[in-house]
Amino acid sequence: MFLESSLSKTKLNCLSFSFQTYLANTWWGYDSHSEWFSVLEGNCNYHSTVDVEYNIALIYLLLWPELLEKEICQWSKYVKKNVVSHDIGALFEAKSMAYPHDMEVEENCNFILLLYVLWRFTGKDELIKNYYKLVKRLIEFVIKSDTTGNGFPDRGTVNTVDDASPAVQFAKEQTYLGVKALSTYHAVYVIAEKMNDIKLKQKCLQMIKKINFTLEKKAWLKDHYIVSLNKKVDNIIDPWSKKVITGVLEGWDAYSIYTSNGLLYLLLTNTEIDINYEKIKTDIYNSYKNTLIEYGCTHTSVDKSNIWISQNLWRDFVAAYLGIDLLDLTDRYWQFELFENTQGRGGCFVDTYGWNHLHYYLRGITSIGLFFALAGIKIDVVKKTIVVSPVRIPVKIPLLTFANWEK
Amino acid sequence: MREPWIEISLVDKKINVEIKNNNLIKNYKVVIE
Repeated sequence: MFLESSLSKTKLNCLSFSFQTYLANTWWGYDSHSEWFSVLEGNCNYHSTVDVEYNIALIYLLLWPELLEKEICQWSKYVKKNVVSHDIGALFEAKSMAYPHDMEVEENCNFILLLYVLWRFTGKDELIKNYYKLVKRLIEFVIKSDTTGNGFPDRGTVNTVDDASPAVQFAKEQTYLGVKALSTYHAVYVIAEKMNDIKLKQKCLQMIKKINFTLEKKAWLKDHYIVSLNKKVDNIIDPWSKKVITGVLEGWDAYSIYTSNGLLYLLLTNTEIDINYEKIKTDIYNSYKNTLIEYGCTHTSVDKSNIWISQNLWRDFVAAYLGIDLLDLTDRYWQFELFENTQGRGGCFVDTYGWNHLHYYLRGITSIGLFFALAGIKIDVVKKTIVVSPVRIPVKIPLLTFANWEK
Repeated sequence: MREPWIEISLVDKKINVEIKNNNLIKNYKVVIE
């Protein structure tokens, strides 16, 4: 079926290769009471890592949404102090988070955005009703993570791009996280509307307004969004050494490939949001130009430590929905996989070019989003709407979300 | 065929969208942008 599509041979190779690596990481367990599904994070060995599943959930939306529903159910049982855990365990234990530190704001946003996209792709209102109390707790945490009043989270902002510089990994007021929070507030707004919760809707609108003001007045620099509002490191705690860092935050004003990370699921569900898409497009294009090296784009124009292939793909998909065609960059990603698995370090799908070596890594299956991105497919089962907005023609793709697999 | 297919091409300088096996999405409004 994939061979009949208009995807190029390189794209199909990348997709097939990453699909096999993904399959090798999947776990299915059961006892007399229940079934258990999890995906291992390749050589990192964590189970059902939320921020990884955030990217690869495209495969569930295309082929098997019930698996994402199972994961959401599991994650809801691993919430501590209103924070979604980064993972649910490692190797043969899945009792508690195994990663050394939380990723508070981002995992809360990831959980809500995944719940939202699953709802819009399945039309199951019970998802919203079942998890509404939890959604309220999680979004309250995100709201409180802004202690300066500008809308951008400044507490709980650490992420797990753990080969990146402090500016990308644990700066306090990061633009990509401001945008991701903005997306999440929009998703919660729609959810709250369904639940007739006027108070929460108003809270979300206030936060959206604040973030947009900050994006416009503080985060935009000539032709791109800066990485972080903080030019200096002001008592940032390194999550690894636990030491307080001070001084200049190198790369605070760089071009980043992560600015638009939070937008894809809202684009995919044709959810209208209040954001300056023209500036987002300008940012994507200029960051692409300033971060591109042989196998893809580095984290930022200053932090050239590593390339994450999956994050490049994700950026390419957002770009495609906004009319910028970067989808042939897949040729570079595939060349990297060929290099690693012939002359390089090996490990099936390798996500990272640089010193980091994320291998046997599931995140490559993000590439299945090529089916959505090429034709600009937007699906909203709740509204019974399909929008087609191709970034290039000719294109031929299967609408797998609507397949009748029993036929 | 167990899934709908969408094929977009350029015919006489106009975008032509063809959906095959569209009975699976017959209740949906399809918008071309």
